Amino acid sequence: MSSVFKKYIVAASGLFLTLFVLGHSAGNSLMLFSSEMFNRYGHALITNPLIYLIEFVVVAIFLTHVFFALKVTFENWSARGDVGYKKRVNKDSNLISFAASTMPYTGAVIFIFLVLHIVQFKYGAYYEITYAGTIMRDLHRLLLEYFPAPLNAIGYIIAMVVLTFHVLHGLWSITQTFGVNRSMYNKLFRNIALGFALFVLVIYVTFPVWGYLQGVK
Amino acid sequence: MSDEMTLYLQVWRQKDSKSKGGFQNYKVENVSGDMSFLEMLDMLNENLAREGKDPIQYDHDCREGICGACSCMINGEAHGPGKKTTTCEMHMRHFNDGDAIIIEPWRAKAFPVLKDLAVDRSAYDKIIMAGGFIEVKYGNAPEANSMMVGKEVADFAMDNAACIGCGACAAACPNASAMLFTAAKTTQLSLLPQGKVESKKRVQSMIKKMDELGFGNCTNERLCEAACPKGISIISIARMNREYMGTLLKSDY
Repeated sequence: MSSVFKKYIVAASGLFLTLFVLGHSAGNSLMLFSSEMFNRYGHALITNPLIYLIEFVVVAIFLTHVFFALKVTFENWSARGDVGYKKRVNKDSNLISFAASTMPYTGAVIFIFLVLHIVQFKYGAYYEITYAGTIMRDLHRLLLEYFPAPLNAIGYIIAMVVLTFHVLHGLWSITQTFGVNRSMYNKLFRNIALGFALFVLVIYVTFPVWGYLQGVK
Repeated sequence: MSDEMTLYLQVWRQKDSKSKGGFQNYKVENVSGDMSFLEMLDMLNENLAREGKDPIQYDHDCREGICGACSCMINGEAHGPGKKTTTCEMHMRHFNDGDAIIIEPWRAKAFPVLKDLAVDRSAYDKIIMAGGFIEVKYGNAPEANSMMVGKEVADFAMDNAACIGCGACAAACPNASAMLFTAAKTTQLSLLPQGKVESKKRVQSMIKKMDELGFGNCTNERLCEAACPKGISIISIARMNREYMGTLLKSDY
């Protein structure tokens, strides 16, 4: 498999995961409006039989992304040779180039966060609540127990800042890898990536901050 | 910016490709700001020769920035701190009296060190041999306007043809990837009527060869673009990525 083809795979799976991040933020936003809306949304998701297929696809794409990103990273580390540079500087250093150079590390942090996230929420404490005769999981109660703990809220915020950097490079990088980039769009694509990353940061930091304040009240 | 400078160099010295190298410190006095970086090294080498020591080996040829022979990582920057300049075009006026300068060879698995600062860059020649040419004889230059090529297309092809194959892109790349070089060498041909014919074969075999030689994978970090003495843009890489995807979908006929 050629190096360029590996890029296509990482970029395509990354684009899908970016869309997942977007969709997940929309679902999560319901927590800000009402606990019933949030719980009913969660109930609708897990009672749909298609959820198993969707979960399988998401996990498969996620693991593909991780596998090829790791493969590319290890190949790249060995491509430098036995002796590295004593000193190396980037002539054109900026926020996006910082995001680019830290991709394997931000990726590793996101991986650890995701494992904890699934253990703490999906397989976390199970409470039940009844709306109009239907018994469903009260995930909203778990949120309000989780975020008021300062360590949980801070950890979540740190993970989201890391995700922002990962998405920032990833999104712009997709335009380059799929050859959509042209010199006249280069700046535009970078600004779109910057705007999207900022959006991800704002919306995902809102959840822990909101949850923390709910606990303080 | 003073006229007479004293510089403290840390130069990578390595006897041959098999031995283990290391840094050595040298003090160079009376360096003029008008000297090129290579002239400064020449001065140091003359002193070394006078002392009966082995001069520092480095690659150079035209000394006017068009041959692509000179190659040094100067203070962590390929071809030194100047923008769009090769090492030979770098003037010592970019440095100040008393500066410490670290001089290293290109570092890439595909560019093994031969001696001191000289590396074997035949890997780039092998990428060219894999398809960076036109097989059909087109004869003399065609009659003007008999073959229509858009101005922007011709300009972009020419920008890519400016590549001198110095190796700065792979040297500066955090992944030691040769994508910018390969992109320039495919783009300059694929855009023009004479080169278009073989573009599918060319882009596939050149990328294949590039991977085989042990260069890294491009991760769009843009350090190649910043280091390129000819200002070749990563837009060329995007163009090659697009072309390569097209070749995977297109049939031969």
